[in-house]
Amino acid sequence: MAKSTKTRRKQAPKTTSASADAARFQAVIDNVIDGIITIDERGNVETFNPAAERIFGYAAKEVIGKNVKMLMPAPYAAEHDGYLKNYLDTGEAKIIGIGREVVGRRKDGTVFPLDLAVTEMKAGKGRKFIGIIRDLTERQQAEDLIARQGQALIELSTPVIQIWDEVLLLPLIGVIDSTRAQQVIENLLDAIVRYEASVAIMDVTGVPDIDTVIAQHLLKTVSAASMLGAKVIITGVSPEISQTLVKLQVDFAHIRTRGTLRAGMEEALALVGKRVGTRDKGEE
Amino acid sequence: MKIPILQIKGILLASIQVDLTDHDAFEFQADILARIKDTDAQGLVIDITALEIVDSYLARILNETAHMAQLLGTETVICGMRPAVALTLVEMGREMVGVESALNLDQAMERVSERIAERAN
Repeated sequence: MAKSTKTRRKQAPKTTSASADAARFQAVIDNVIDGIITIDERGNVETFNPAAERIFGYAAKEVIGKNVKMLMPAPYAAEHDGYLKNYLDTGEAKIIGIGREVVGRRKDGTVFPLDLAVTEMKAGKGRKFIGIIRDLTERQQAEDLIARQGQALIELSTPVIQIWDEVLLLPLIGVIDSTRAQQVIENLLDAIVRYEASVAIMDVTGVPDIDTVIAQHLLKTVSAASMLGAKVIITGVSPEISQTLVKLQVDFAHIRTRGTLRAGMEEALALVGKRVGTRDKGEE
Repeated sequence: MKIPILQIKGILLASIQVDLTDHDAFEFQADILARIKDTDAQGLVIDITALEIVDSYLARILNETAHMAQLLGTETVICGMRPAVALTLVEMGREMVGVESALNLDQAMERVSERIAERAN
């Protein structure tokens, strides 16, 4: 198999179809999305395809013949010669044939994350290295954004507020997943102990939808709190949510629920022996 | 290890201070029921503030004891459960169904007294 390839390659320049092949191959290199750079054993750039020009902002003629380390930020630029020499001496591959996420430096000096896959090829007496580069800037930005928003959501999402002696309010907003549900339970139990609360109002007005799993989490929260001696009132159950709960046959029978936070407040204060009302003028 | 059961104003108070073996837990249950019968106590408070771990067996014993005491006409409150214990019991599906709980001994005594007073009316 390898032999036949070799023979064909030797014959290649003689036939016209072979030059058409070469042209087609060059067209592929010129039109792929990934940057393709080849370097020799000393690290000098031999080819630099249009995608690489786009990614790094250099024209091919500015780079070809120069050392590839011009495309790397410090400290990697200084270390690259060493990496290359180390590989040529020991044959121990750190990146060749593996590929990894590294950083590159554009012409304007900006440093950006990129995915680099390096392969080696024999060429005549020497060896050459092919680097395939994909710009990860956008992906990285998107990932950072998601991570930041996720963190912000967790921080925003589970406040426990003491609204009266022995009464806590836990407003839930947004989608509740298992991680958040766990945090809700823990925060609530800690707050019950800290404030010596006997009633906690869990307001779900801001929760768009409640499925079986979330309903189970709510039930768990109520049982855990009741074992600490606190009663939980769930408020803000919308008509849609009540329909879902009944259809899912979630047993909320033992749970105090109120339609509005207002009604929940009234109930909570009644439970701790307080009352809301307008002050009678005669009392003053 | 025998758990001392104290009596204060007609209410029995048992405070579990050490980890109980299954056998201890079982004896504890029998002791409490015997004491209720002897003293005709109106209320019972079981304090578990000192317990960092409540396994499923002890949880069942406590649950049963509370229900048994109630059958004997004694208002029962369990108090001092730690948040971590409550969480674990819920995860294990061993929540104390139908058992009155209180945060601390203070609230527990108050709650038992209230219940007894309600019954008198």
